[in-house]
Amino acid sequence: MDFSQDLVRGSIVPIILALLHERPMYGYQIVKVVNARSGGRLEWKEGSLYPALHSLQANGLVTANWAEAAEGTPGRQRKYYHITRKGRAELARRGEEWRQFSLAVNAILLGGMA
Amino acid sequence: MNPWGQLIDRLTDRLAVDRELQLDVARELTTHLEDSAEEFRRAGESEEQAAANAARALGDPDALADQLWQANRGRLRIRGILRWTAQVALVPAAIVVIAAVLLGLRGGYPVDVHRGDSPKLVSLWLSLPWHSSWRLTAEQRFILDGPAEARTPLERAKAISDRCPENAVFYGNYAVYWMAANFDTAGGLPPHKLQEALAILDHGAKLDPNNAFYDIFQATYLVVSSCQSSLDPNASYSLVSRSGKATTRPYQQITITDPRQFQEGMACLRRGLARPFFTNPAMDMMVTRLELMPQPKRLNEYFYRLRFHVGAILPPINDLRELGRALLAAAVAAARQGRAAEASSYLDLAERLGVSLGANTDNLVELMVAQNMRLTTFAHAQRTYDLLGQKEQAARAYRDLLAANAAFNGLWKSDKTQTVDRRQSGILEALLTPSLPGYRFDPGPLRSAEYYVAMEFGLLALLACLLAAALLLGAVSLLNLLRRKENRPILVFVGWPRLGRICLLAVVLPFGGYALYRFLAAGNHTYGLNYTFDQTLLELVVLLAVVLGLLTRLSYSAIRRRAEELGMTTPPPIRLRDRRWMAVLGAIVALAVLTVLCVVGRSGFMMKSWTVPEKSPSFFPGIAMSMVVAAFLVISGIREYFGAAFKRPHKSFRRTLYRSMVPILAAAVILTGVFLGWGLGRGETSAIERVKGLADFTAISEIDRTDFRLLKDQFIQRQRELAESPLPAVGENTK
Repeated sequence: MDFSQDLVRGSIVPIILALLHERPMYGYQIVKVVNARSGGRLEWKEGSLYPALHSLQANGLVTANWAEAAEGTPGRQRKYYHITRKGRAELARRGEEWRQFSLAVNAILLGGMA
Repeated sequence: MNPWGQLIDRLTDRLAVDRELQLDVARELTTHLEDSAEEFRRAGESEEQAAANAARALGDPDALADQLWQANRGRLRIRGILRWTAQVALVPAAIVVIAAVLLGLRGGYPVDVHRGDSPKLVSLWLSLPWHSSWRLTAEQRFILDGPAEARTPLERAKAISDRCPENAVFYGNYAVYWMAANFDTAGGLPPHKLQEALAILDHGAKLDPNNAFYDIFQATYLVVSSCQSSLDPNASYSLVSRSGKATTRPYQQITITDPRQFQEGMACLRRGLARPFFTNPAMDMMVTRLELMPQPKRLNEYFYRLRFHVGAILPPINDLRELGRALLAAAVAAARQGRAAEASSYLDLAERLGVSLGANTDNLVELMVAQNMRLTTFAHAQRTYDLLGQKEQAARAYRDLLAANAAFNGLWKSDKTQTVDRRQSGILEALLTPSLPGYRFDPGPLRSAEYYVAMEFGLLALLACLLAAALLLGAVSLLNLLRRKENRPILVFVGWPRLGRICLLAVVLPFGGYALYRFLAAGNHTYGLNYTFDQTLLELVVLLAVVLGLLTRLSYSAIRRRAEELGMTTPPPIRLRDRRWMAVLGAIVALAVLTVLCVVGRSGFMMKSWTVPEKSPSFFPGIAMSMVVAAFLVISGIREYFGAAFKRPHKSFRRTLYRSMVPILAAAVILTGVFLGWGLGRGETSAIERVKGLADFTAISEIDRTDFRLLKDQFIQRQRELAESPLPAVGENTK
């Protein structure tokens, strides 16, 4: 099932923050994890991840540093993103917002169908 | 070869205004494409197919380029401002910081002590605004410096007195300057100036009727110009000097050429000796000026104050001595003619004159003159009474002479002469403190202030080296930017964590370590800089070399790592095993430094003329070692950062390194200058505040600081005794 572009776009930021909350990751890694965890249902345009990451970095929600990747070719460096304190606060706010929003939408949509 | 070169250029083209950010984004997208293509390859696709699919998976290039630009637009603006600051503002700010440290070190004392006798550059330096207007009103400045148009000290003194004609101190100061200006070393006051001198002194006596100064100097001029006093070639007496040798001194003889004027002089002298006190108005003026001036806060201000008041002028004391000699010669002459009462009166006046000077003065030179007059008076009294046949009184005068001389010589033999270990005194005190008996002072604050100043000079040397390096690299980078259209050097930002690490390891730790070393008194710092100059210089040069070495090395590593992240070709990291000879040489230098500091430095090296000459060595290992350390630093620096390591293919990196080093060096100057400059300045101020008036010792309190106060006490005691007996009648009936 294809999700609407608006839904996908709106979920990018909380998803990135949630993943970075677990551990620092680089861009391609984030794409792979999202695809794997969503069972292929969330198919992001890979490029769209980077403007989002750069926006988050510009807003101080994440920081980045270059480091050698644990896996892959030895000596090859990746740009790792780390969530900041401000990013964690934003993630909590977005999570709560999503929970309230989904409750409200569920009550209307699922309740109406029932 | 990168198969996505054109795609990446297309995606990042709009970020080109910030070359570092563009390279960073390009490298990030490239690593993504590489990872993606690798996965396609693992799925069995060909190299070309994998590359094409990876590019396709990235999405629409135009849309992505626009999104990337939108996402980074804010950062581009902020980074633009920061880059501009780093390129344009940091170096001037570093220059301002160095100027502030230098100006702080100079202090802001509002006294033009160098007026007219300084080189032009020094005068210009001293005339900087806050020097001349700091904390003083225009009126206070006028009292200190006089009008700007005044060319001589006499003109200044007259202008100050003219502005406040009723002020006795200002007028007295002018009178002293007039007397000094008209004093001829060959013959005292020229005869045609006598009336003018008398009028000036007369006016002074009206303004300050309690001060004997004006009457006594009127008497001096009247007597000295109305007689011819000379040494008697046929009679002399002998005294033992403080070195233990007997010295022969001749008696005085006199020919009175104008008896009436001579008696007028006697009348003036009687009038003066009846006044309550006898002080030098120029000294009073100096005290007034010192009270106007704020207490010094910096060592240089202390030095200004010292130099200002050391120049306090004394009235023509030689004329005063001439008056004493004339009185004594007149006593001998009267005795020869059998006029016992007159002779006795002259002796009495001569003694009162010397005692009055000795009991009232705070100045050591005047006290020595009074002592000399006292001895001469006793000697002439003995001769006078001998001539009058009054053997008993002659014997008493001789006993007094021997007792006064022995007491004076005894002062010099006081066991308190070496109260303070000269090695602890510091340079200024060692230079300025005379070898006076019982001299007492606390050398700690001034010694401490000198160490702070030495460290401030060390800091200035460090800042100057860093700034010179920044300017040199900045000039090279500017030339590169102007000459090249392509492959221009990039200004890279190494990141805050790396900057913090550089700051901690290259600046905070070395200075902190040195502070700990000082705190633990591992050096000879209980001794003054006069004793430890050699060692301190070496310590500061080593500290400077460590900071410079670490700063350049850590900055190089940080910039190299950042350039690597941006995908630039970089030279291999600097490793010790690749530089065996330099490492061995460095180890030898370090060992030699340690040896000098731990073994030789502890024995102390006193600089010539800063302390006892016989202990001054002719070779200073610390200075020699400092030169070796500086040479090693320069050679290793040139070898590392301008040498073979940056030949092709690393030319591009070298240009980036030079350009990126400039803001780091300038920032190091600003941070180090602000924090250390402030800290050291505070330390110096605190030390100088503890000095408390030491600057004022030379002219106005040196008697109180030495055993010579005992001599002054004798004069005060004798003055009390003399006050109980009436003045002799000589000149009583003369106007």
